[in-house]
Amino acid sequence: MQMKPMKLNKLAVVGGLLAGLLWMNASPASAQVEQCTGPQPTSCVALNAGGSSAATPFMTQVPLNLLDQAPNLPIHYVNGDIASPVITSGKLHVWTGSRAGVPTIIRYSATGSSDGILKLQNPTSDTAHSYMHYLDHLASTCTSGPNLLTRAADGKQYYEYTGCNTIVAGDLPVTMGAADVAGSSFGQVGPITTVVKPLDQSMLTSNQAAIVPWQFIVGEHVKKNVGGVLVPVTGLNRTEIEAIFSRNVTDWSQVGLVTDVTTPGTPDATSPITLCLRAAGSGSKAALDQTVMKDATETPSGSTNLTLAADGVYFGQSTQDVQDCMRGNTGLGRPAHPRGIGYVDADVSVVTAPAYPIKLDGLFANDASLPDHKMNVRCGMYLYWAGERLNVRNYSDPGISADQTALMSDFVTNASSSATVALLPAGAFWVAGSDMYTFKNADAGPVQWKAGAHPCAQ
Amino acid sequence: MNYKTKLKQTVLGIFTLAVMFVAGFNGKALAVDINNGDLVLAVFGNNTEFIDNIGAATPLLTPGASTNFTIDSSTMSAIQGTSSPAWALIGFYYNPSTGDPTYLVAGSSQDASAYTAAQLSQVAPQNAWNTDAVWAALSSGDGLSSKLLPASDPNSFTSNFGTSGTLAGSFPVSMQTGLGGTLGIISADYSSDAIAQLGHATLTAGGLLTISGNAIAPVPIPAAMVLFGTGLVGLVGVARRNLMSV
Repeated sequence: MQMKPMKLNKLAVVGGLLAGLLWMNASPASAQVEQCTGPQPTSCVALNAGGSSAATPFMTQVPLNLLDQAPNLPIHYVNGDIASPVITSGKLHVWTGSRAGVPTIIRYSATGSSDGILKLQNPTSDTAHSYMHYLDHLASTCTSGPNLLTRAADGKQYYEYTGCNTIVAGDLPVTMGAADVAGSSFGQVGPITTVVKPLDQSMLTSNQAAIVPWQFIVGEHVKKNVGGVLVPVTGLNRTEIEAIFSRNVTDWSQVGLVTDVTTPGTPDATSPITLCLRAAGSGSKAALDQTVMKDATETPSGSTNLTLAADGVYFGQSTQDVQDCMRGNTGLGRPAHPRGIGYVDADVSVVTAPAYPIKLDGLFANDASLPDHKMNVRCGMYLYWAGERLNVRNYSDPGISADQTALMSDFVTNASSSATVALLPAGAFWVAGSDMYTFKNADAGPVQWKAGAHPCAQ
Repeated sequence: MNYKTKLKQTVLGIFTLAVMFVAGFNGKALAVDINNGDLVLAVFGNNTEFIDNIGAATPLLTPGASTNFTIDSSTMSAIQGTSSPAWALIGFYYNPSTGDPTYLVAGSSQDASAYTAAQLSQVAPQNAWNTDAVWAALSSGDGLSSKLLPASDPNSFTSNFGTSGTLAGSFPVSMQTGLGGTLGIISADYSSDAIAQLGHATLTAGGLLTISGNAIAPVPIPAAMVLFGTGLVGLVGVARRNLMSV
């Protein structure tokens, strides 16, 4: 059969259609339109979350799952360094957009896990106890944006502004908290005048959205001497960690290691250990206390001045502070401590070079040599992990509408799914609760096994 | 019973109930305030503990000082019950300007001089110091100087230091004794692990606690004094000879 040649006018129509399709594909599905206009706190349905800095990955992805892609794309605002009050970059997030057509705003303030409980103990009307700093997306000047971004995993798009500089005047009430541990796991001290007692969370519904592991990192000049050749440290066991963090051991030589700060490749005459710790109130610290420091107490004494170069003990308010303590941050005048050791979220431990992660009791939280990289956590064999909790009030609060309650419920459901955990920047390390072979009803353990057969035994 | 007595009892009963209600409502056990340099007595037995901050350790342990404290009989009865109670003393010191730990003060079943070389090598006060500092911080805030509480309370001595008597594993000898016993009070340096004798303490079954600073040792006559004395005798002798020869 012979095909008829296409006429010129028909070709033009097809060409025009193709061009149109190509244009639509190359352009954003929707324009940038701010859904939540002033004055603050705006009339949008609001989810104001706060607490654990480890939970920040939820805030970078879950809102994108919940907010509509049309008619307008969601907008994501992130703070830069703010001088007063001091808030380092990346701590405050705001997402605006619509959800099933309803204008919606989702805010996050990353501080410490204790806030993810404390700020919910009282009603939202309690300005003294229930309020936190949030980014004012309307009053801010941002150093970058709007940038149209696409999430590679599913093609969802959003506009992003970064380096934003203004917080909401008078703060805002917290409606949902995030905490790395249960309230009862607090009870840490450090520095000596900073005390966080165990917290009552009987007025909260606490949902374990994902399992979060932490890893230890050591400074770039902490080495093992193997026949005269200094090589990176493989790992430390729990008893060594206990001795180091309680200051029973203060020199690396006591656990068979060396440092080579003076002349790389040659062991230093002495190798004093610097500890880069989190201050009380941190979920990372509470989880360390509950899961690793079983028979010893982490030292409560040290300095909060991260601009000091001397070997010693330093307390940071955030994960970034611990990173700075380990690798330095010239912008903030913070020197590196290449003989240091610290603990950070496992996903952060691999991006803190030149400091590097080490094994705990012979295990990494994510081991690329295993068929299932997360097996050590899923099987509960890796010690240092806890459930990341999303907390909401379990009592009636006139300050929280039904729409807000529904939004929080959807957030928790979405954050808890395997699919969402896989999307997170920390997804290579975090595990959805449903994907665990084990569970803990208390952060300290014991590890309990789920029913069924599991491929855990070696 | 007259009307006034009945009224008094009723008011007292309501007050007691109110106090219990408030304590229960808060869901928080009251605990003892403990600060840098305080010496704390813990007496424990019968699943009960008495925690008493007896005050700053330094003046109590001044050489030659001796101070008595009395624990009331009802408290002693609550602790003794059918079991044999034990007791311990502990305090922690740090540099207030830097927060750096300096030393731990604790009761020891052995005087410092009786520690063998092997035992000295197994003194590691860091964990006891850390535990004490954390215990003090978590306990403080209620404005109390003493408190009777269940052994299971998170703020109890044994909940924090265990029952082994080693103060969270920091000492190779028992750091507690029974009623009627004596404890040497020693200091343990946080950095060097070195220990030193500061004094002694006894606690009777009747509740009398006595804290004594190190006894004042006889002051030895320095060699200089001997030389001075013999020199003086010599000078007197020379003077006498000179006088006689005049």
